[in-house]
Amino acid sequence: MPKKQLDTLTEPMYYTLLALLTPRCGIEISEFVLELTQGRVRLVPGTLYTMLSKFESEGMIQEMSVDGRKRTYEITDKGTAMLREEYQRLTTMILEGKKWLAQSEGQI
Amino acid sequence: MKKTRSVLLSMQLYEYKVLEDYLSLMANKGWIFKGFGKYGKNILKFVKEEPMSIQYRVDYVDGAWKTKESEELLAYRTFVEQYGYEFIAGNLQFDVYQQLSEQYPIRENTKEDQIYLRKAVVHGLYVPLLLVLVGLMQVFTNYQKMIVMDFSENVSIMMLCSWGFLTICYAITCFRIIAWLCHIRHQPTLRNVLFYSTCDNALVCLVISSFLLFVSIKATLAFLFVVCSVMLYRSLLFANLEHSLKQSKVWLNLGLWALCCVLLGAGIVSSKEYVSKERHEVISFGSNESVAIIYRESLFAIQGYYSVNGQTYEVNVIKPSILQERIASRIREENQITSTTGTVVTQKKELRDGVGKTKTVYDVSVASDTFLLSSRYQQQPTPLQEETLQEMVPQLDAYFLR
Repeated sequence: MPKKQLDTLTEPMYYTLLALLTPRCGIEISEFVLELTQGRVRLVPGTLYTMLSKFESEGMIQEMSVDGRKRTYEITDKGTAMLREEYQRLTTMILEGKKWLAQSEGQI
Repeated sequence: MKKTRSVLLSMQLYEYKVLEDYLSLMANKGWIFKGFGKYGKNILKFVKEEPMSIQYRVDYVDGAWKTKESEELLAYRTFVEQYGYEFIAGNLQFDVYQQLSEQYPIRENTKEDQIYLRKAVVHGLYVPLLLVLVGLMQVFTNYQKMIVMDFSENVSIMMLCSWGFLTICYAITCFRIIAWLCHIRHQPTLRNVLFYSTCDNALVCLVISSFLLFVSIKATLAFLFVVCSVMLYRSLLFANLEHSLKQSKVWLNLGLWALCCVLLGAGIVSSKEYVSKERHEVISFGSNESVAIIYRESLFAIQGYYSVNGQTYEVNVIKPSILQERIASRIREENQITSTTGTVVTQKKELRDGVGKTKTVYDVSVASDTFLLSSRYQQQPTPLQEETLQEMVPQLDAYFLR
C-alpha cells in the first residue's frame, strides 16, 4: 500500500513548517513555536521527531547540516508550496467565517 | 567497591510511567539507576550512592528503530537530549533519561501516541499466543501416544506442567492488557506492577522447574527453593523501600519459602523410599523357566525387565486404570499382534543410522491384556516356546493385575 500523502497540515505541522523557513534544529523549532504562539503550541521531542522524519521522507524539508548527531533542517520548495497552500486555505476559511459570522451577528 | 544491586522487573510497554516512579523512589533511597542488564532486558542495575532526588523520564522506543543502537535510535536520543534530558540507558522497550529541565516532556500522550502504544502492546501478544497454542496442540495430540510410547512419568508431567504454566502466564498478561485497553485500570500503579511482575517471574520459574522435572524431582525442588529464597529476599528489599511488610508480600513469600523447604525435605526423605519401590522378583513356572522382574512403578505404567532363556525383554505394563481399549488395540496394530493370548511376533527391521549405515535388528513383542513385552536384538533371538507362553502369560497377567 503506498504511503498516504499529507493532504492537510495539522496545527503542529503548520507551525513546524513555518519555523523551518529559517534553518533550525529540533529545540530551536520548539522554542520558536512556543514563543510565536505565546505558549499555546508546545512541540515535544517525541512528536516532533516523528513529524520531521515524515516531512523529510515526503521531501518537504531537508537536512541542512549535521553537527555530531545534531541535525539542522530547512524547508524545501515542495514544503513551501504546501505551507502556502495551507495558509491560503486558512485565510479563505477565516474570510468566509468572518463574513457569515458578521451577518449572523447583524441579525441578532 | 561500590555496592550494586540488580532487580528483575518485567513491565508492559504502557507501564513506562511506573518505571519512572520506581527509579525515582530507588534514587531517594540511595540506589541510583545505572543501566539495564547486559543479557536481560528486564534487569535493572543500581549502584549505592548518597540518597538524592532524581527526576527520571522514560520513553518507549518506536518499533521501527528497535534494532539496538541503530543510527536512527542514536539520532533520536541526541534529539531528545537537546530538550534538557540526559540519556542514561535503554533496552529494546524503554529509554531512560534524567530530566534536567522541566520545560518539555518527551511525549504528550497524544492520540497518535496512544494508538501506537495499543498497537505495540497487542502485537507483542501474537508470538507468545502462537507458542502457547502450538504447545497445547502438541500436548493434546500426542499425550496418549506419549503415555504409550514413552511410559515416562517425568516426561508426561513435564509436558503438562510446562504448557499449563505457560498458559497461565499468558492468561495473566492478557488479563492485564485487556484491563488496560478497556480502561478498567487507567493508570497502572507501582504496587500493581510490582505484584504482576512477581507473578510473571514466579510463573516463568515454574515453567523452568517443570522442565527440570524431566531431570529429577530433587533438582526441581532445589531450584524452587532457590527461587523462593530470592523472592523472599526481594520482597524484604521492597519492604525496606515501602516501609510495609504487608504491601511487600513478605508473609506470602515467607509462606512459599517455608512450603518449599518442607517439599525439599520431603523430597530428600522420600527419595530413599522411591528407590525401594524398585522390585526384584522371580516367578518360576514350567520345568526350568523363570521370569526375573525388576520394575519401577510410575504414574501410568510399570516399567521393568523380564528375562527368560537368558534373553532380556523390556516389560511395559499399562495400569488397568488407564488401559483403554483403543490404546491396547493400537499397540497390537503397531506391533502386528493379532492374538491377545500372547503370541510372539519377531519382526526383522532394517534401520539406517545417522551416518547412513544400515543395520538389521529384530523386534520381539508379546502382548496380553495387561502387558506388552518388547525388546530389540542385534541378532535373531531364540524363539519362546509355545508351552512357556501358555504358562507365562496368565501368570504375568495375574501378577500385574494384583
